[in-house]
Amino acid sequence: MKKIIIAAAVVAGAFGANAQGLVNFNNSVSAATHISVNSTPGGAATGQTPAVANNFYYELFASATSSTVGGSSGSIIPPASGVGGPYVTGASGWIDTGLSAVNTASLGKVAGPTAGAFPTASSWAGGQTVNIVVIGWSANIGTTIGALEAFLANPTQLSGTTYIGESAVGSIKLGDGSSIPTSAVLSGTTVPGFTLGVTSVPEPTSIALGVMGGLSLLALRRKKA
Amino acid sequence: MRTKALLIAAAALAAGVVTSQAQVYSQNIVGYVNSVVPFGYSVQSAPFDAANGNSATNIVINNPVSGPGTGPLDGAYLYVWGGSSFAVYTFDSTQPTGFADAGDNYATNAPVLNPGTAFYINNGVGAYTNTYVGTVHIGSGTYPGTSTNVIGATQVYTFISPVIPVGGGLTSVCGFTNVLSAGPGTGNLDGDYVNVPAITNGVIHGYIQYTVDSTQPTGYADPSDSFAVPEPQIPVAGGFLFNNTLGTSYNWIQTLGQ
Repeated sequence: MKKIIIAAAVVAGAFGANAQGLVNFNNSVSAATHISVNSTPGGAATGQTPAVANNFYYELFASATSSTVGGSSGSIIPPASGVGGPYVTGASGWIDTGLSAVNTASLGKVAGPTAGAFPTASSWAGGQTVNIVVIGWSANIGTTIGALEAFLANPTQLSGTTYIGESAVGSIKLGDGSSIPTSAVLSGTTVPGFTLGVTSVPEPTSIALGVMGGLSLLALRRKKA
Repeated sequence: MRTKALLIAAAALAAGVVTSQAQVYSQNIVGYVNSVVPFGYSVQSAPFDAANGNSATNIVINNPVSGPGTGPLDGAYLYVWGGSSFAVYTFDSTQPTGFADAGDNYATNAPVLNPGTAFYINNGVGAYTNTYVGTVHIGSGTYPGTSTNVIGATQVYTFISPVIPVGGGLTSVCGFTNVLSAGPGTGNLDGDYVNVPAITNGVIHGYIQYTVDSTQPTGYADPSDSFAVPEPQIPVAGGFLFNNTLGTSYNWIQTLGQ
């Protein structure tokens, strides 16, 4: 074991490897790596993301210490009511790698940067193994992870169907641009495909009606008293 | 990598295409090797010249089972060394070439995988047995099965393999011979490095490095060239990264059965 570690260090240094670890943020023709969607809040997947490009966005999060998000290592979709979670955005021990991807005009396909570098601040070099999670959302929420975070902080009914989903936690050996090959984020050896679920957020008018109804009941109660 | 060499080659010396008009004949040694492509990363190499050329589609067989997209390796990745880094291809039977780019977005030409060249497969689909089949590569030598893998000095690192279907001790079996010009310490490989991929459960953890050193009884030393270590073992259809530090090319001459 010691010999292997020494050897790895020697070779990596000799190759002048990339300082930051690298990943290919994509999936492949393999159906097990594809992204699915459901059609009812909390329901099972009913198909893959449609073959219309730029309808879904994805962000890669990573951690060297955490192997769970909110105590779970499984994938997450919104429940029958509300947006669900907790999601990896803001989760302790996880950082946003800044690597983003988008769906393409192929069913269930994700396309992001090839040899995408992890952020310098992470100090995660090629050859290091880290845990990863992919979170995805529909374009009507916005095209950036900031837009998703804003939505999760204050869920409101948007035009069109809104989807959110998060992958299970996986791990990946970061490529170094040289002797350590760069691997795909969504694959059978890293993170499998996952489902984006429909969110159920009460419309503002529904909330207003509910409040009015409550106030009316209170008023009736006072009158009777 | 569990490799089962089923070499019917020696027996199948297909020498015999003799014509009645002249002494024209071929001496092709044919055979096949069943090699498991396990889950995760593995080192592979072509032990034979394929019948229709050494395009990757002829070397690693990914024929669809029931239509495009149902190849046993669809979604797996092929890594071909380019001298300083790996070029990545995706096995994709939905593409006309059988391969796509690293992101599996568009078709790319299948790379050529000649005998003597090692490559990685990252198989996230499931264990698969590839049958390498073809003719033993013959170089300029006249004896059947004799071939030379010229390892150039222009590329500091090369990802290489035996050019014929043999596996075992790199020097004792595979013929990676450190030729001495005089006594110990004058070998034409002395000071070079053999880097054998250290793969556990499909993950590449680095490389086990050996220094070629003819002053050692085994012919190999540790990375710092301080003490002798056993010679590297290279399986059939395997390979290693070779670091040629001496700046001169090396002719790796191999002969089947010798």
